[in-house]
Amino acid sequence: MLQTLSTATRLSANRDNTMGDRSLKARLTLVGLAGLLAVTSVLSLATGASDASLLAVIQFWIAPLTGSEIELSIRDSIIIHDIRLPRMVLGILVGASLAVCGATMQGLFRNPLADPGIVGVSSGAALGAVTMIVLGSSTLAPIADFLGVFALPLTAFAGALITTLLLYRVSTQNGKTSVATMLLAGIALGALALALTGILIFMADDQQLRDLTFWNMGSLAGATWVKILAAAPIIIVVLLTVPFLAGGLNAMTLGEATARHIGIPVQGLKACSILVVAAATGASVAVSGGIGFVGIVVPHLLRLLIGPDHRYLLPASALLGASLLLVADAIARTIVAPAELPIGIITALVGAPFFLWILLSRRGFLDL
Amino acid sequence: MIEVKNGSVHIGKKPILSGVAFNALPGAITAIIGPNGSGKTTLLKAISGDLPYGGSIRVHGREINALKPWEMAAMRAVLPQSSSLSFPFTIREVVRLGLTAGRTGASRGQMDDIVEEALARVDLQGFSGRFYQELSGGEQQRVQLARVLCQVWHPVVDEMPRYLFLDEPISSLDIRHQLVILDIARDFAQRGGGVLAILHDLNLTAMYADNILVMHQGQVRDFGPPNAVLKNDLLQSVFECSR
Repeated sequence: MLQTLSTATRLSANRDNTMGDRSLKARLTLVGLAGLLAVTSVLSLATGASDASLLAVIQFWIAPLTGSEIELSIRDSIIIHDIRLPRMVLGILVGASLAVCGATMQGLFRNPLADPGIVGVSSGAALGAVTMIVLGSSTLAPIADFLGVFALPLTAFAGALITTLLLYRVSTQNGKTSVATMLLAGIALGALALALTGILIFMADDQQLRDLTFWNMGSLAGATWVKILAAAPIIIVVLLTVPFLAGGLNAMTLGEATARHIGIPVQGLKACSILVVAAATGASVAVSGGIGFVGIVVPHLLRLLIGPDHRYLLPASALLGASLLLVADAIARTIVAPAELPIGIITALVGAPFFLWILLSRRGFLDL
Repeated sequence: MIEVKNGSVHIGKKPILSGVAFNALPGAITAIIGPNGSGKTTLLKAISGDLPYGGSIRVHGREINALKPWEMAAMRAVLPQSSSLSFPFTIREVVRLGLTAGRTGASRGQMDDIVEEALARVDLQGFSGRFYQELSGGEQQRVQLARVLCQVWHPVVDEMPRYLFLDEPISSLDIRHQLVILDIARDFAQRGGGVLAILHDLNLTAMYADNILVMHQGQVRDFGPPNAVLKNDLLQSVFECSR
């Protein structure tokens, strides 16, 4: 039975012989994903607890193009410009960042299960951010004043960076990364960060507790232009940097030694990847808390669709991650309207079974 | 030319190689033979730039620990003893990774041709659309060789000969493909490149090698052309078999 199956796979692989070049398909997919992001962006602007209609939104956006003017009520204007628009922008930034971090980290660790949320990096980032929220008005006040709006993203970045470095140190020996060690070390580091976060929460006052609540689940609900200002520069720099890592990450799939033989400066590539993942995770966690599984689900789906070539996988992950988070957010704020479900619940509901599925289908690959 | 003088490698405090000296000339196949654990792979790794070493290892007169990865990649390609691949790439995509170094001077279209040609040479024509993970061990080894060949596609570039380092390239292959691979190595050397290969089959070594380096307990026991090196006494003492 097994033999017949494998013969059938081989035959079908030969029949629709694209001769192994998936770059055209990948480019078309990128175009399609850009279109999808445009659609989900409009959807994000049009959905919400209030009744500002899709039509009104589209008319408002198209009006300047046709030369006509459409008056938007102050209420609609506030809903769209100060609530939904920043929320959409934040959703795009965070979604792209989470997915790209997942894809980069999976490339770095050469394993599809590596993700900042699962191996404790997000917890490290949250610890950094919580430290700043709780101690920012007392012990760390000088630093908080000096860094201004960037205080949260930067401390979250520091937390993420320390966790990622520790994780890499622990799980990689002689250029080989042990998957089991990585996952287990990630659990330990995540638990440690969570415990330290718990101590800080214990010390927090009522106002701080309210600020902290959203970290439990992750949410885009608090989106403001100030938050975007704080996170956007970091995330945009990261998104512009990762394409330069793509060739190196491709070579890394053959192992560190072979990547070096091909001419990749492996140490530099690893340092850069770790910095990039820590920076973007820190920025995302600082503004939206711990939204899980986007970094696992998106790159995995895309690898099935266009293959693991990071030159296409990374930009495609950014686009699909952004779309996915916008859709999840639209569901989060309509499903129990006028109340709102934390978006982290939606992504975990979809993502956790997905993670199990990957685990089961690749059990042979893991030395667990 | 590759020159090794007084080469040594320590792992921790334990000496793995000591006092290694030989030259690997372009235009020739230099075979490294010796029993398991004699330091063959360590030597090849040191020359590949994977390990810190003592003494001197020079390629074209330049000490290799002073060379950047991409400078090394332009001079030599390395086929490791075993390879792994962590994501489902197609054969074409794997072989194309050999062109990552980008010093082939080939255009996009030419690169595709090189990939096809390299696959044909290792007797895998028509395989480019298949997935790496679904091939057998021997086929995977030949895919890796095709990738390595792509990296040094022209054995001589700007009058600089390039090298193929092969760590047991034929150990998982049937006899036909062993000959196919060794013919590729011979062709590479005849066109001006250099080949440094770890081999276990002494008959094939005698047939193909221009020079043989015999390793034993981390040291060079002998170095020279096959008819001078492959003598009964030496082989009996190195491989510790008297029959």
